[in-house]
Amino acid sequence: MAGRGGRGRGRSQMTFNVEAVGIGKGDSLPPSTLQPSPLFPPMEYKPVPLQTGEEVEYMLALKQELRGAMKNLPYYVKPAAPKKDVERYSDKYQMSGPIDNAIDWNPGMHGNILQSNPCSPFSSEFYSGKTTLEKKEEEVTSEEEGEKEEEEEGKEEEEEEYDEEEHEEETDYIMSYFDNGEEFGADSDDNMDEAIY
Amino acid sequence: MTQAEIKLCSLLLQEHFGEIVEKIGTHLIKTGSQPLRVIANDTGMSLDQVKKALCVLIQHNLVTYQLQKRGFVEYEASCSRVLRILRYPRYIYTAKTLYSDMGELIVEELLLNGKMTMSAVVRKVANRLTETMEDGKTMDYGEVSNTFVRLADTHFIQRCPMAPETTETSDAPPPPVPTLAVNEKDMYVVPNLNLIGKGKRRRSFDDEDDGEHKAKRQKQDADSKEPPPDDGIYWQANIDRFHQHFRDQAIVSAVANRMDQIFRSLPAGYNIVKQILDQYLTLLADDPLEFVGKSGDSGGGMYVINLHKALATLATATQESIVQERFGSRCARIFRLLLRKKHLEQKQVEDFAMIPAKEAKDMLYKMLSENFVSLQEIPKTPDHAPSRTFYLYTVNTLSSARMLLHWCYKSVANLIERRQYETKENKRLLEKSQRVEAILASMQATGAEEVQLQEIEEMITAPERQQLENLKRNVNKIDASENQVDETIFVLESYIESTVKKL
Repeated sequence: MAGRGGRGRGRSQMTFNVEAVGIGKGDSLPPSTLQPSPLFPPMEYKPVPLQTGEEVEYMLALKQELRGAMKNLPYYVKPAAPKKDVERYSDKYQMSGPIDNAIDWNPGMHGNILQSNPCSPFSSEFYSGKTTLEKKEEEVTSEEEGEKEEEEEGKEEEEEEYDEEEHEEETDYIMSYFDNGEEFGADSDDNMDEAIY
Repeated sequence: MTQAEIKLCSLLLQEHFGEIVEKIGTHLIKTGSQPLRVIANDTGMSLDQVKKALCVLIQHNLVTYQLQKRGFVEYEASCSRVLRILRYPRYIYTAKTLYSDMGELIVEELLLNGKMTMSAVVRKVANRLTETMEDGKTMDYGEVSNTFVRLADTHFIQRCPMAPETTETSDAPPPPVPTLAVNEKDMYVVPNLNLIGKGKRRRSFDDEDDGEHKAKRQKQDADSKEPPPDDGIYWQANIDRFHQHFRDQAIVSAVANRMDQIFRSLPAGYNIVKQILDQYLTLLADDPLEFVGKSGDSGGGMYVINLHKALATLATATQESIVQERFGSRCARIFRLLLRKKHLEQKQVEDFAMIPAKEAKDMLYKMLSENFVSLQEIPKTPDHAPSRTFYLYTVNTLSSARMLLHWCYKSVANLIERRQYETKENKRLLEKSQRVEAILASMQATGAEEVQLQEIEEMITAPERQQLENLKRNVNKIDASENQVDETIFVLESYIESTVKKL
């Protein structure tokens, strides 16, 4: 305790002799830091330029292609498309964007038919008022179906525990049979002469 | 897992698999193994979403599952495997250099899809190659199969663990989780498939015999509905083998750099005269780098490559170059001095490095504050009195390698964030340019006039074009940097792994 106010007055007290580390008497210490270091501190030495060359260019192109390709694969789970303001009757028959957590890929497709058929009262889909349809462009259809079938056939063994609640992504109904309701009014206009009981 | 690793993993997952998978993957990495319901509870997502995300992650070998003793199944994510996503372009490029385009596409398909059957891979690759060939030519399945077999023989691809065959007569209920196992002997055995066929081109508008094509396509589609003959045998890319290859490449190029002239004069192929071979081997063995060592004299001399030493040297060289670029060549001199002499006092550093005391002190402290260099206390007396203790500066390569690796992960995470930020800032402009390109393409297909095309092109003004150019240049730079940092990550990780592994 007595040594605290004693030796080395005017400098912070340390437990070891600072001279051994190289701070001589009378040397000024660098100013103490009062705030976190700046986000982009000025650099003393400029960084070495990036590597260039055929190899590097090719890998760069590969990387960007991979990123783009993965976005279109069924493994990319898109979050739910934002809902429109009011739920409309025609929504049921219209193809909209990805419904909440729907992905194109269906592992282990020999699920329980009772539960996976959207029209059966056993499946949760029956009560949601929506069908699970995805927008598919023509060129993409064959590719996706090819992939889907391969994954479907292949994943039975490993995904046994997921079978029960997988939804069938395709329904049995042919979409062209359903109007979206817009032509309903037009038709009735033409038949105004007929008596309506 | 360090914070930096977790952050990087979450960015990689989000970029490649979307937000839902990212949330669940990150949660698993942070918390270790968890059962399904706990994951759903903790992340607040529906059971359905969690299941789908887990499907995707398991398919890509990022998550494994295990039946616990109490009867429930736990899922565990592998942080290091997620970090490998950064290296996918390097794997694909290596396959290209070794096995040309076919190898490249095979490995690419396997990496993009995680696990695939051989027939599926062959079909897809043949189709893709056919697209790039001239009209009328198709790629034969046989050639692709051959490349596949070669890849399997050199262990670059391997079989995934399979579920055991279920016997019909077993009375016990099937286990909740199939226990996957792979027989060591079968890991690279290619199934005996007779794949005959040619790649298909995607339907184009110019097909003349449409009717015939339609009929053929239907038949082929019907065929594909039957299970392929190798159903259940899945293949994946063997990441470790690629790492072995990279490591060998690194060591070879390091030695080559060292012995430039000798290497140039060596004849290609293996027909080196015995005496010259002896000379070179002795030279290599005596080299202070100690990559090659002589372990005995039987058979004219037994030579061995010291892998651990080689990796350590590579890691150290990386650290030296980092110190040089960050602090200057004088600091680098001090750093190299400390590496050679292991422990030095302040005074000795000044003497050996021939740098004035004040500057030497300054540099040492700078490096000390950044943890490249550490202090070792050696007491002279049992009471550890500071005035009677030696303080020695030293470099601990293992701990600074770990620190640098952490820096690398942080850098890549920052790079990815910055790239995403840049892209988001210019999203409107990017979308506009994409739309214009689409319009241009469709107009060209329907044969529009030059004037109309020019009008459409002018929809994007000159400053906007400049902005797009800048954006493209920046994104390219950032991507290239990510690839380059990944190379450093590889060297440091290999070194650290080699010190940790116990046989």
